[in-house]
Amino acid sequence: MRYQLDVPILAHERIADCEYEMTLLSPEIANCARPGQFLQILYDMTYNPFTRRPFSVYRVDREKGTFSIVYLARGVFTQGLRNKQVGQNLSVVGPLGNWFTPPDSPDVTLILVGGGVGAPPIYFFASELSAEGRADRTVVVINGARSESLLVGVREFSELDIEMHFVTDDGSFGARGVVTDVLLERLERQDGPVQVYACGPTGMLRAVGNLCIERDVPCQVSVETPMPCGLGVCMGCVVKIKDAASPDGFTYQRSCYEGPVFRADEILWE
Amino acid sequence: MTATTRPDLSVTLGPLKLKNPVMTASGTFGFGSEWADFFDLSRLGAIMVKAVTVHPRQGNPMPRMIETAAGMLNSIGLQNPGLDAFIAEKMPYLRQFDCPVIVNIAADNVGDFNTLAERLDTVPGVSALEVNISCPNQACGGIEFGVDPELTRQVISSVRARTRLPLIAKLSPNVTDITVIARAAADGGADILSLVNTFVGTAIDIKRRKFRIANRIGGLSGPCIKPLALYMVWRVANAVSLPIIGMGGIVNASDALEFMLAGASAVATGTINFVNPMAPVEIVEGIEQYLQSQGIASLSEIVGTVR
Ligand SMILES: Cc1cc2nc3c(=O)[nH]c(=O)nc-3n(C[C@H](O)[C@H](O)[C@H](O)COP(=O)(O)O)c2cc1C
Ligand code: FES
Repeated sequence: MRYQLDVPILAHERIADCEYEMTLLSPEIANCARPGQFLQILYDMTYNPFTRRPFSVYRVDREKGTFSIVYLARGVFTQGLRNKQVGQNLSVVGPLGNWFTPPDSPDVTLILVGGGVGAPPIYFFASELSAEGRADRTVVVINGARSESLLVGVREFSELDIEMHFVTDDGSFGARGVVTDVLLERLERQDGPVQVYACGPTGMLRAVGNLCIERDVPCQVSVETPMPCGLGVCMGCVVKIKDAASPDGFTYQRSCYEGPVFRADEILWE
Repeated sequence: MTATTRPDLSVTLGPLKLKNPVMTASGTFGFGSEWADFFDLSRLGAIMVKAVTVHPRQGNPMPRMIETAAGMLNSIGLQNPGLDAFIAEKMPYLRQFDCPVIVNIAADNVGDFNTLAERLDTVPGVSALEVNISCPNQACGGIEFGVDPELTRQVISSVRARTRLPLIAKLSPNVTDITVIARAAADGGADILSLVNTFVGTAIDIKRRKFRIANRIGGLSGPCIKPLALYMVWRVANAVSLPIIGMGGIVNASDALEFMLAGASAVATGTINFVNPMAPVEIVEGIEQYLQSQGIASLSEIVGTVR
């Protein structure tokens, strides 16, 4: 079910450098949102900025009926979002798109990789897996950013029952390097089946995807594209998906509808 | 009028009768199924589906769309599954609703337009054809029929000869005098005119020194084009006697009413569907409230009354 709702802001905090978390009240959305799905948020009814912007679901509290999003205040829209006050309503459409799907078998180790503001859906997924409380399943999270001040969810991830790795380009928090360094090292000492999930900047997704493809490790990535409608009708969000039946070798699929989560080996990167 | 009588929202566009004047513009509503969670499609006056071409089209490379001041520029390039898949996979869904289906057809040559018209003529559930002679991004093959009166007349009369369905000519605003094209479409045998399609435009990224959409140029839509579109509807309404479906930047009932006062018998919502999926039904309700508050019994009474 996809909703269009006016929902109140319950909390709004700066959580890192230029990064903010906004918590909204909507039992409907909190109940049905799945990790990897997103919401389209309207700036306000003056339609200025005109279009909605996509934000991934970060923390969900089903009992309280709340969910949150994280944003980096860098454009007109997100800089303006900073000024929205607790108590004000925002128009939200969602949840939209598909989600990360865990393998059925508990024997598979799951490695979740987040980069920068790609971390929120990774957190949502990790928290759901950790809430399942299956001691037989290993869940590993690698969360990276350029520096500590840009790392999302240090405290939140640390509270989960998972194997946690932080990594920063400048070494200001966790390991120094990039997420693929840690991923490579972790895959190398892994025996037994493993599956990788990633969300972050396109360059990172591509690197994680290629690394997995080379090692025959199944990998799902959540792609980042513009989402002019988020509803599957404008065709402005498409990605090339390999398709042997097409004369071009690919067909365009909608990242808001068939995606945003695709198998890394299906994507034909531009 | 008593408070209990509801104003009559039905409209008659030549051979096409609609229960209310609000439809969804082609390319902004997919093939309808994406809206299932938002409202019952039977509440629409009509659905205008995404352009259908004879063969499937992949469309243009990304980026295809960007936001501009109070609008959007798009160059999708007519990505669609093609005629066969449209008939086999999209029509069965659309037929379920008590809502006329208007099929937008696009082609880069008259032969393809003919094929589309012949095939769709007998497909159950198709209520009208909207001939897209106004695709602005040259993905249509480079030729824009809708900027040349003679080509417009030829295409429309050729399609006319191949279908009994009500025929709508969708006009391009990218012309010096839109009334000339409107007359040519009327001469060719169109029953209804729809206007406007998008305005050609572009945008440049100054840091990368590149166009912001891959196809370099695109079509501008949204609130920023409303005054231009309204002007064109008014001009055409005064020049040609065919009924008009007005569109271009409509976001609410008062925008829709402006188009109707200027001479449109019906309206279509486009880009606003992306932003407010409930806009089409909110506009139906808003028009009804307006008529009620003004004590007007029937919507058709106000069409073209601002001259
Ligand atoms: C993303 C997008 C795709 C469109 N695709 C089509 C199309 O396939 N055929 C067509 O006749 N018009 C198409 N249009 C034009 C619209 O139907 C409409 O004429 C135009 O957008 C102006 O209305 P608006 O300002 O309310 O959007 C498209 C517009 C947009 C924004
Ligand atoms: S964002 Fe419009 S189709 Fe995906």
